[in-house]
Order: sequence, then C-alpha cells, then structure tokens
Amino acid sequence: MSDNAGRIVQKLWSYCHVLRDDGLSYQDYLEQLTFLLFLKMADERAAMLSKDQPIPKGYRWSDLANPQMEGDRLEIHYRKTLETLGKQGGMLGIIYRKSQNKIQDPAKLRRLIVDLIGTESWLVMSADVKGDAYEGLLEKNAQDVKGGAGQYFTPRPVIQAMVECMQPQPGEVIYDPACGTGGFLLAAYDYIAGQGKLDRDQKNHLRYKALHGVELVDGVSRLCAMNLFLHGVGPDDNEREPPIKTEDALRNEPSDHADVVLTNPPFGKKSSVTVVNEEGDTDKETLTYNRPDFWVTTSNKQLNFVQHVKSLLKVHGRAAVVVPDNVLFEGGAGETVRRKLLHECDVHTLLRLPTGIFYAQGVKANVLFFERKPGAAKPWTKKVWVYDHRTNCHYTLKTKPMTRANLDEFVACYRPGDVQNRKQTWSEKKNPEGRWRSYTFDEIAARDKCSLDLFWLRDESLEDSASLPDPHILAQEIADDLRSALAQIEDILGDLEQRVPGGVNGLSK
Amino acid sequence: MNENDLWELPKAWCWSEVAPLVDGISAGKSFKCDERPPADDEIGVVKVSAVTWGFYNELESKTCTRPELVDPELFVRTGDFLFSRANTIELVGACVIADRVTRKVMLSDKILRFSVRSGWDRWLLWSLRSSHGRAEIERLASGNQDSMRNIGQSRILSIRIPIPPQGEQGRVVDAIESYFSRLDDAVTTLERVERNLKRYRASVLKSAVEGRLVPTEAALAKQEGRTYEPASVLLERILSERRRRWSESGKKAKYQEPTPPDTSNLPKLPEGWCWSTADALCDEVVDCHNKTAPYVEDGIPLLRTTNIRDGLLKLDELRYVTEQTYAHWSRRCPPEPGDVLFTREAPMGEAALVPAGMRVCMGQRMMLLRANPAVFLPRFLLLAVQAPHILHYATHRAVGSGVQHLRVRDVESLPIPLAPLVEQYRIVDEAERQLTVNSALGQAARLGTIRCLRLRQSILKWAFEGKLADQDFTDEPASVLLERIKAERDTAKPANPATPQRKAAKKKARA
Repeated sequence: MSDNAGRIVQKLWSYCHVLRDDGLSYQDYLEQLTFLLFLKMADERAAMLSKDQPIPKGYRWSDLANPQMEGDRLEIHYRKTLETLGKQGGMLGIIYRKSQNKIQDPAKLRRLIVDLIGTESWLVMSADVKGDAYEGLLEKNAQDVKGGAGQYFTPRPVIQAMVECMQPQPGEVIYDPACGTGGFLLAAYDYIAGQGKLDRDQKNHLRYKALHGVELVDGVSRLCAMNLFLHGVGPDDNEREPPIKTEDALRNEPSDHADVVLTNPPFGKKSSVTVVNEEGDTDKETLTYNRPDFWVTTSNKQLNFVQHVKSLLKVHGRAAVVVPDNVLFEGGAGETVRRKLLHECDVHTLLRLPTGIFYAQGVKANVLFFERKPGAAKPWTKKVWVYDHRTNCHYTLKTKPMTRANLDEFVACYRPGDVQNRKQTWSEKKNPEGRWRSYTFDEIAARDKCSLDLFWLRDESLEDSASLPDPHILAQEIADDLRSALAQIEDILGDLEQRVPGGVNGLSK
Repeated sequence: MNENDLWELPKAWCWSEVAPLVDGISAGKSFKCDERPPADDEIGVVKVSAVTWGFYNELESKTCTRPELVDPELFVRTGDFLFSRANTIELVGACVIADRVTRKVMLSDKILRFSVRSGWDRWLLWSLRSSHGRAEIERLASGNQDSMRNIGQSRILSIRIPIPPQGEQGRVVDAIESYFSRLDDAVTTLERVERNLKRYRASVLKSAVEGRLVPTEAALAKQEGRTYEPASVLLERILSERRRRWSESGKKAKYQEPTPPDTSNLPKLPEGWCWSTADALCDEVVDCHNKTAPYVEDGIPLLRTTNIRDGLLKLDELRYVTEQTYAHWSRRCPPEPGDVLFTREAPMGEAALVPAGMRVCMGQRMMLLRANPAVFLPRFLLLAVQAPHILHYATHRAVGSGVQHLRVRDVESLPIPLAPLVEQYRIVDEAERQLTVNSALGQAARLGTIRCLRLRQSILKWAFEGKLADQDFTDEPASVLLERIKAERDTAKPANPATPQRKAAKKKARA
C-alpha cells in the first residue's frame, strides 16, 4: 500500500474510534461516512467534469461544508439533507433512503465533514484504496457480534474460490439475490476485470450492466451500493439504474434472468430486522411464498432461495449457492426441492465447508453448484462431485482463520473450464482419506429422503485414539455442536410457534 | 387407553378403522432356516428385527435352506408396507415402508405385507407409530403383559385412526418428515456432544496432572522473583516421613524404600514436578477384604464398584452391612473422609473420594489410598488416578484372561506425578471447575436427547390432531372419501376365500 493509502486508512480508522467512544457502532459510523463521502464525491465529480450534480440544490456538499454551518444549525441542515436525498430515486435513493443522523455532537460532525472528508480528494484516489478501506470497516462491522451484521459477510476465501470455479465472463449478467455488502459482486467484477484487456464495450457492460444485487435490508443495501461505488461499479448519478435493489428477492418471480448467480442467502429463519408494513405496524417477515414457479411452499428460507435461484437462472445458466446442512437433508419440502433440483438442473458439485469460518456461530454450510437445463423427461444430474472440507478441518476466526490457499485443492479438483476431466482423489482401498469423490444420480436418488448430506471420511474427533486433543480444541468442538443443535431446535421451535392457536402472531388456527 | 379415548378432530377429518385404507393383507410363511444371513446367491427370510427399528434392514434375515419352497411372490419389494404382527408389547406392530431393497428376501409368517391405498401409506405408517396408534395396537394384541403378543389381521384392520382430507394428509406427512429429519440431526449432534464431553473430561484430567492446566509454580516464581519448593524436595519430605513412621511403628521387618517408577513411557512433566508412585506418596495403600459381604436391609452402606463412576460416588442401589460386618471388613483400615477409593476390577480405574459425614464399607475389587493433605492433596490424587496415562499403565499391567484386573502391587506402583503443594491447590480448583461444568453439560445433553425423543411424539400428536399443517376448505372432506371407498368395495367382487369371516365360520362349523 502506498504511503497515501496507508494514511487514508489510518485516518478513517482513527475517526471511527473517536465516534465509537461516543457510542456509535461500526455500522453507524459506516453509514455516516457513506452519506458524507457520497456527497463530497458528487461535488468533486461535478467540479472535474464541469457538469451539474444530481444532488438537489441547497443540499450539496458545499452547503454542508459551509463555514457558517455549525452547531445546531449544522445538525438540522444535515438531517434535512438526509431526508431530502432519501426521497430521490436511483443511486441517491439507495444510499439515503431512511437515513438518519447518529452523531449527537455537532462539533464532531463538523470535524468529520471538514477534517476527515473535506480535506481529501476522493475521486482521484485509487479504487483499491477507497474500496479496501471501506471493506475493512465492513469486515470489522461483521465481527461486531452484537450488531448481527455477521450474517451479511461471507468469508473472502470462500467467495474467491467460488468465483474462480464459476469463471464469470465479460458480457455475462451476474446476480446475487442476497447480496449483503456486495462481496460476491465485487469478486466477480475483479475476476472479469483481471482477465485481461477488455474493450470499451466490455468495460462499459461490466461497470453498468453486468452486476445486479438484491438486498432486503435498507441499511445493508446502502453499504453495498457504496462499496460497489467506491470500487468503480455502477453509475455515479441517476442516469442509469443502480446495481442494487432494496426488496425481498423472494416475493416475486424474477423478471430478469442471469447467466451467473453467486450468493450466500442469510442463515436462519428471520432476518435480524423487523419489517414495518404500510400501516406502520411491525410485521414478522413473510416466511412462506406462494409462487407459481416454486416446486413447493415452505417456510424454510434457504430452500426458498434455492428455488428462487433456479428460477433466476437463464436456461444453461450456472449458480453457486451457499446453503446450510438442512437444505441437504431436511425431509418434507426439502426432499421435494432436492429431487426436483436434481431432475431439472445438473447439480454437479457440492463443497462441504468447515465450521469456525463464519461470523454467525454454529453454522454448518456448504456450497452447491448447479446449472439450469431445459425441460426433459430424464434427470439432468448424472454425477454429484463432493469435496469434504469439513471432517477433521478446524478453523477459528481469530487464531486459525481459513485462507484461500486452504481451498487450493478443492479448486484444482473442480477443474474450472475442464470439468469433464475430473478425477476422484478418494479410493476405497488406496486412498480412503481422499476428500474428492463422486456419487451417481442413482446412488443419491436411492438414499433416504434423497439426502445430499454425504460423508465418508473418518471423523478423528470421535476415535478413542491415543492422541487426545487439548481441552480447548475439544471444548470448541463441543461448543460448535451445541450451537448447531440449538440452531436446529430453534428452527423447529420457530415453525411450531407459528402454529400455536391464538398465539404469537395473533394468528388463529 | 379405553375405547372412548378419541379426541375431537378438525371439521373435514373423521375417525375410521384402518380397513378402508388397506386393500389387502398378505402374510409370509414359516420357513425352515439357517440362523445366518444369506450369502449373495441365497434366498433370505425376513427376521422380525428387519422391520422393528424404523427402517427396512434387509441384512436382518435368515437363510432359507429349502430352495424348492421359495415363492417369488413373497419377496420384499421396494415400497412394500411391512408390519410385524408378533413380538413383545413394546415392539409388536412395528412397521416400515421398504426401501433400499437389493436382495431377495421373503416374508416370514410373522411379517405381514399391507396393500395400502395409493398415497396413504405414509399416513398409515405414522398413525401406527404415534402414541395413539401404539395404544390401539396394545389394546388389540392378544396375550398378557409379559408374554409375546400377537395381533391378528382382523384386529389390525379395526385399529382406529384419524383420517384427514387427502390433500391435507400429504401436507401433514411432509411436515412430520421435515420436523423429524431436523430432530434427528439435533439428536445425532447431541450424542456427539456427549461423546466429546467424555473426551474433554479425559483431556482436562491429562492437562491437570501433566501441569498444563494452570501456570506452574516454577513459572510464577520466576515471574515474581521468588523461590518455591519443587516437588523433588516435597518428595524427600514425604519419603523421610514415611521412613520415620515405619521406624516408629515398631514393625520388625526391614524398611523397603519404594521403587521409583519407570518414566520412559510416561508423559513429560513441567519444571518443578517429578514422578512418583502411589506407594511412595500415600500413607496407606490398602486392599479390600476379598470376600462378598453379607447384605442386610439397613445399616452401613457397602460400596461396590458400580457405586464409583467418573470420579464420583453414586449412592443409588446401595447395599448395607451390619456393624459387625463393617468392623470385620474394614479392620485393616477403616475408610476416612478424604480417602480415595480406586477400583481394581470390573471395571478398573474408577475412583472417588470417601465423603465426610457417613461411614462406608469397602466392597470387593477396590483399594483405599490415603494421602496426607499437608503434603499431597487427596483431591489431586483423585485427579491423578483418573488421568489417561493411568489407563494406559493399567491396561499394560492388567492380568486375567476373563476380566482384566490389577493386582495390589500394580496399584502400589501406579505412576503418580507430584507437583509443588501450592500448585496442587490451584490445579484442583481449576480442574474441578471444568469437570463440574463438563458433568452438568453431559447431563444437559442427555436430557436434551430425551426431550427430543418426547418432542417427536408430541409433534406426532399434533399431526393427528390436525395442528401441524393448515386446513384448506376446498379439500374434499375425509367422510366423502370414505364413502367412496365403501362404495368401491361394495361393487367389487365378493370376499376372497381367505377373509377372516370365512375362517371364523369354518372354525365354528368344526367346533
């Protein structure tokens, strides 16, 4: 990182700490930073291009940064600015909708405006610097357990490996229907941009047309839009559609279709945010969606995302979706979804991820890779290739984090671009510890409930071997298991509570 | 459960016997068999255990020794609804829908195959597995409480179950399977937690007695710039005290200096520790009286090896002895609070402390180890004798072709690590904290598992009360379906020769 870049990052962090002392969370800081930065950059751009800015007059950077603007006057003006911009459409709407000032002390707000944002030239700063600094703050936000933002953050190594396997190409349309803070979209962008010389049309397409994200929660979609914006993705103004939409992706059948879908739908049943409906009453988020394009109606959010993704794909489009174990083994609706998916799509690869890599604790997750195919009488899936990166794999967020290198073997086995030449590393006699193994469609269809919960490696933690792991390792495993069992029971409880007569939601049954 | 214990059903449901859902029942035959599973090309006969445990297990079969009697009609096929009509009360009526059928296995006379109305087989399966279904089976099976029970075909057909609208029953069954698969996952996870808690316990013990659980006295002393008494010096004090006690006891025999342990295969100890043996460190190492004590209704508790588990005394199923028995059995060394009891056999290696406030009598197959807390904490000794290295040592030294056991001299020579006294206190506190948490967690996991099993039954109960899935008022009511089935049957061919009514009539005629 250049000196200047280091300096910028330092500065952003130090102001963050100042405001944290005032009780602002990372999320709050990020939002305020976003509001101010966007205004400043719009201002710089207008100056540089001698164009008028899309920001309504009276609410621009120059108005906010005016030396007369201090104390209560500043505070009131800032609030008005946020409110006004929030009513705009396009990019402005995404960034400023439902925005609020969280900085109690106008003097600190003024310092932020004048010292932090005002003194720098952001437009000319490299996208890497801005982008990386912003992403660093996003990651810190994810680690802040109380905020619950962890569910929006997929580990970088997993994103990178998924993108490398999917090999998005210039000109392709890439969707993330649960985009969170935009990790997948940016990784796809980097991959395509890094492939070599793109001509002007391709660059144009990549910037404005290729990437699409949908996010349910306003606060998060604004961070996503800003994250993309700082990396040079999407429009500067309202002349084009922003790449992010704030809505419930599951509500409607998709009107657009994608060549590539990369996504990590949120874990659990409900988001951490209560949805407020038109009447201003708090609503429990709708859990069940009655869509004609769905195979089955269920309250299981992850199963619904799988159905949605398949619908979102163009025929011959490809997807990589992070799913929890339940999607692989749950009976009832789960079985129906699996059987249909195996039939209508080519479900070719399953990566079993280790525990200890997500900020959301106790998560047991996998990546499912599949391609949508045209209608046919016979099932499209012939073989499912499984890579077990869970059994005997131990990572922790702090002391032993997973790196991209840990997934090298998986990506090599996957053989992106050359999948017909895959070979098992597992062999019953010669290499029973091999982590890459294929199962035929028939083998899977014959399994109880068509379960894709496939394991074959010996779990060392269950052996009564002479080597006894240290207590803290065993304690970690026990804690992970208890969290997982707890999550499962709470999932069941969530469903049962919905059915208590006259109960929780005032539903009468 | 009596005949009138039927609950109110949702509007479009109704109660019915099983009969309308079952178009026919066929039985296997009784075959002469070898009591072994069939080899690849042989024909098997289903054992009752193949259908008793929740899924069809074709490996639970015997081999038919008369190939000429093989009837392919009796082969189990994928999708067959199988019902076990004879077993103990808990297991009679077990049923499965066969899948993963890869071998040729015939039905036996104890296994019935139901021909179930299309789309209703899973409903029937879960009905028969619910607590109501089980109660019906119990009510209708012949025999008495302790004997083998049998439930005949006409009785099976008369089992009463709730019938929902056809559309709804699919939704209910899907919901059952969704809940149960998740519950099974939770239970599997909890069972793994229980297993791991055992290993965690062993790991804590190992750390504790190898000096890795808390900072060592050596390290702290260095940090704080002071001296400390290392175990080697402590041991010297213990040994010289041992010599002195011997000489003052007036025993005529020559004093035996205790043999130090062979440390070549023992774990490394940290600075300030040293290895020793039970014999050297303990004031007393005493064997039990090797005769079964006579029990009485009440008196002084007699401890058997079953009362010693996981470092604790379990005072259930106690036996008692009289004062005289106690006096005689304990004459070598009456147990005192703080003594460590250590089992030599059946199983070996369990240990517990004698509690304060009660007299106990040592039963067979155990020894008493007494430590002097001024130099060697009994609670530390308790940890030390439960550590994994003791189990390795014991397994190596144990004798006996039948039941493995340790001899007295093996227990005397148990390798015990010695830590500075102050460090022993720290270790004991921390280890006990972790072990009690561990124990509570194990209990919670066990309870969790039990509760999950009860939750299964509770979910099934809701299923059959119509509470598990939504009603749809456009569904055709169950009563209409049942009418239709009745009409179909009335217009069908007359009853076939094997119906129960005809058999009963025949019987009557003969009588």
